[in-house]
Amino acid sequence: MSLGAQFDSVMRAAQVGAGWALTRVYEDLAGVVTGYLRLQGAREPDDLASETFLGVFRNLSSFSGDEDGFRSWVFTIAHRRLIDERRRRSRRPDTVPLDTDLHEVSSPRLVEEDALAVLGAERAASLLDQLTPDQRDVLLLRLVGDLTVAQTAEALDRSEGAVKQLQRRGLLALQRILEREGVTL
Amino acid sequence: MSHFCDDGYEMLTNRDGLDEAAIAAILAGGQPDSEELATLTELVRSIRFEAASTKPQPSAELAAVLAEGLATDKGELPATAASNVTGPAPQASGLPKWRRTRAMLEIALAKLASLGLAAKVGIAGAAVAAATTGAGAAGVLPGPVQDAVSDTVGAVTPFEFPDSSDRGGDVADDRSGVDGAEVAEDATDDQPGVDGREVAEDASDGRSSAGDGDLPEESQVPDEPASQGSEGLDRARDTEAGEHMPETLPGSSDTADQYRPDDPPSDAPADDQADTPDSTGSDSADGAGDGSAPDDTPTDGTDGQETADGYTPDTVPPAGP
Repeated sequence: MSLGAQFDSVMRAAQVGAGWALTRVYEDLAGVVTGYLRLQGAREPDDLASETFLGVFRNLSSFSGDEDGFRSWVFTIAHRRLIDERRRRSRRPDTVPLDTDLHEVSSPRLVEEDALAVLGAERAASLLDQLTPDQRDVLLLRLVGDLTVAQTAEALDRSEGAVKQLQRRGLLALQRILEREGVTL
Repeated sequence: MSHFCDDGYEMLTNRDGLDEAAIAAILAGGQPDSEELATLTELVRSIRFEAASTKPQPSAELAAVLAEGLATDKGELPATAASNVTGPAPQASGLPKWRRTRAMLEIALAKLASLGLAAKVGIAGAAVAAATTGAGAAGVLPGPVQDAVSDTVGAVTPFEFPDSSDRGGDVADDRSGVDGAEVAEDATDDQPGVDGREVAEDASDGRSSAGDGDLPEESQVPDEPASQGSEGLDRARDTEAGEHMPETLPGSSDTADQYRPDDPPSDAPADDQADTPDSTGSDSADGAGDGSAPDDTPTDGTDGQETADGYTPDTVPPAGP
């Protein structure tokens, strides 16, 4: 879902703080932003998404651009909030027990039974968790955020060549994981 | 064997069956050519689906912002804590009056833009009807429209609007009053009145106000016209400038009419004479040849000419009787 032709009018109203326009912006992007944070392994994706949108709304007056640019801007803020959370977690390791789905994914029999067609978010997250953080960042911004290579490079402060390389290596790594676990269609 | 491009990164080759075209197809959710990539494509679709189907739950702080809006001028949220979800007092977070007005205008325009075509047409129709009614009440509509509006309002309301017969448009058609044609005729006839010749005589009778600006003192200017002859001369001698008065004045009992040519040349109207730099009042019909002013009085004829010019028509009528 996107705002489409209404984007300009909604954005003008949102930039002056109109609640209905902020709600439209939130409803348009909150789902994919929260999904991105969940697949990135955020501990509290809903809370982190709320922090992201509060930051977006506070700085909305500084934004100028089209809907694609706005989407990229929101995901850039979401990614930075995620990095902040990772830093906080690294300083204060939490004691949340490991997700049992991780072990289920590593079991070839269960994976074959469930099949990828019913792959849940947690299992997708577990597969993505086997990638390097850079590969995961690039693939999720490209897949979930629908960012272009250039937008992804800007969000991650990397070159476009580096993004293309990380993208390719990440996909190859996923393919090898799937082959290793015996998942075929 | 590794392949590196200029920026040091490995080139995207097809040695793994994953070239740029295949990557683009996978990321777009399409079906790649290779069956080996089908599983990977399905995984990408699942990731995208799972992310899009996430139902977020906003925090209390964000829910308050979505419900009440955001005070953008101070950079502060209307609610800063879960216990204060209704926001601070209005004066702390309210917009300045000009900003509030602008915000309301922008929001109204945004809402108007988001309305359907039928709603926009309805609003435009209502605005036209309101404007027509207001103009009808003021009686400024064109005649037939004004009559129609007046009839309609009179039929459906107890009010009466003026119709086209009530307004001042008829005044413009009344040519019996002080219109330009009437004045022009009066100014150009030969009868005594406000015609050019009469004015020229007024300007030359010594009561012209043209010289006022150049006279040293208003009290020194003779109040009486020159036609009163020696009385004016006697009074002039009583002033401080009296010592400069000549003993006799040429033709002091005459008016300036003596000096007006009987037949002004057709190619030299009075205006042209007045515009001549070296022309003086003594040889001009509208000058200061009234005999009352001393020769060395600062008053010069050109001042009188300028004033008389204002009353002199472009075409000087023939000399009067």
